[in-house]
Amino acid sequence: MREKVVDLTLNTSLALDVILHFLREETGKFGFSKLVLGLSGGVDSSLVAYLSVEALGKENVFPYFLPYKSTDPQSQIDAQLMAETLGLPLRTIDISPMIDAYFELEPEADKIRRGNKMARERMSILFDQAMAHSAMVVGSSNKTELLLGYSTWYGDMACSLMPIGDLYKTQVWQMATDLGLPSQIIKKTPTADLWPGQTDEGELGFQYLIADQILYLLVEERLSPLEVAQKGFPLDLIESIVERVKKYQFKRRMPPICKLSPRTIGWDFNYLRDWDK
Amino acid sequence: MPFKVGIAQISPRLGDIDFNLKKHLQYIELARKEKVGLLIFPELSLSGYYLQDLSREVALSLDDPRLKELLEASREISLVVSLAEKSAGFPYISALYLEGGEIKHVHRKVHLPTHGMFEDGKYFAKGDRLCAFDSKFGRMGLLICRDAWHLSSGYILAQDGAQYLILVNASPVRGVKGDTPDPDFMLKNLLAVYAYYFNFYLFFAHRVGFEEGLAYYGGSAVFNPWGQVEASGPYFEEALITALIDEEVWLRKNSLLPLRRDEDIGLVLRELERISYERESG
Repeated sequence: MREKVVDLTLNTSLALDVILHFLREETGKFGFSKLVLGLSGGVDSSLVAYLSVEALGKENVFPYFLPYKSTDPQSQIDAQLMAETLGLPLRTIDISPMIDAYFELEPEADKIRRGNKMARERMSILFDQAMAHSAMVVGSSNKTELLLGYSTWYGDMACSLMPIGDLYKTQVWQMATDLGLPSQIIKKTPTADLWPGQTDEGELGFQYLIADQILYLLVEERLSPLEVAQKGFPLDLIESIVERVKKYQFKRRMPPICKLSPRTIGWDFNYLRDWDK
Repeated sequence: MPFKVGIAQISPRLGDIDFNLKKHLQYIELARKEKVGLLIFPELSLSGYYLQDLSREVALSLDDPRLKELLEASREISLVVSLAEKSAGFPYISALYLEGGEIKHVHRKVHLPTHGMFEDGKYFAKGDRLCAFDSKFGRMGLLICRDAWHLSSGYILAQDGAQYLILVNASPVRGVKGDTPDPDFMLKNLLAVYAYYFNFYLFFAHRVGFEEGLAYYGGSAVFNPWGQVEASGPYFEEALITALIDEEVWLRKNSLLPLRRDEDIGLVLRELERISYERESG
């Protein structure tokens, strides 16, 4: 398999310009000037923290490190490093008591259920902290994980704004590198860190570097799986990615409303969220 | 007589006519201080662009009292403003040329992009006229956004004698891989070609601001008839852009490169009729 068939390289300063205006305008017009985010020590949330500080100033950005007792200690070191780099005070809230209290009632729960619960616990805390600070919750989902459905529905996907939701993982790495984020954060193995030893690429079964190129050809260039295969990617891998994209479409949509009236929300009641804003 | 053109590169608020009207009046005041003779606002400047179901709710009739202040202002400073225009059926996306207290010309967007992220054709009716008109500065042509992407629009307005082409725009970013936000590079190339080959002074008024994640990039510009940029606006920020316009430049260019004189409109008509006939007869 060829390493790099498609060039996903961005103009970082231009992307930065768009994203900073996005963060300022999509908070400001709703009457907000502050952002709350979960800072995990990974590259996605680190980049979002950087962008948030650039957009709104460090006094208006509130990062939270929300570990469970099994969270890799390195995550805390990296989250701390990123917060210090940006001059942000990092608040740590241990979610172990909340998670353990629930799973005492559900001792048979597997690691997926536990991981999802942790993601939703974090979401719940972030939204509460946002209320406390009169802030919006800024999310860290990137395009690759949104397309692959590799995130917890109403967990880490839940937020008010997605500044990097149209950037593939490799573009997140590029931006983070170009913007000078600490290299130990950029270079570390991507992980949701929901259980010890978990890695994104291990769980997904493929590398982001390859998946991003396949997704780019399928999504941006609208090639068929066969045409993508002709570019030098294995057909079974392409098909498994296509299956994932289809399987998790539900996560990218509002839940279906049973249409019973002439004007149903989402079908014939269509207004942008920025209505009168 | 040379005059100063101004482009109000604003960020309208989606669906809020009163707010946008105030913003228009602020920019008119600013432009007045700079002795601007013609001030141009971007596409759907009074309502915001991505209206969907709001299109019906914010649509205005041309005799709506809310246009009164703008008409009054146009006694001193000619204006181009844009709105959803009420009609018996679906509204139009219209741009109005206001001068001397009157609506001198209405252009209704002819080409409604309806693909990908665009839904114009779902919510709006299509205009069916493309004609130049006279103003106190000379002969004008008016286009709205996608109209300009169809090269026939520039051709028709040039043949109809327009010296000044006004293009009002609302175009979201859909790529950040190049030096400028996509589609700015290709559009500016197109506009330079329009200016040079059709022989126009070209005023490109583009909005800024976000509508639910869509970034309108600005970069408004004034092209002279040689295809050169005389003045341009920043990306993503509101601004008033001005440039001095001299009809003599246009006249000189028109005689030095007499493409308009040498155009054979009869040939174009005959060939288009042939193509149309052959298409219809299969």
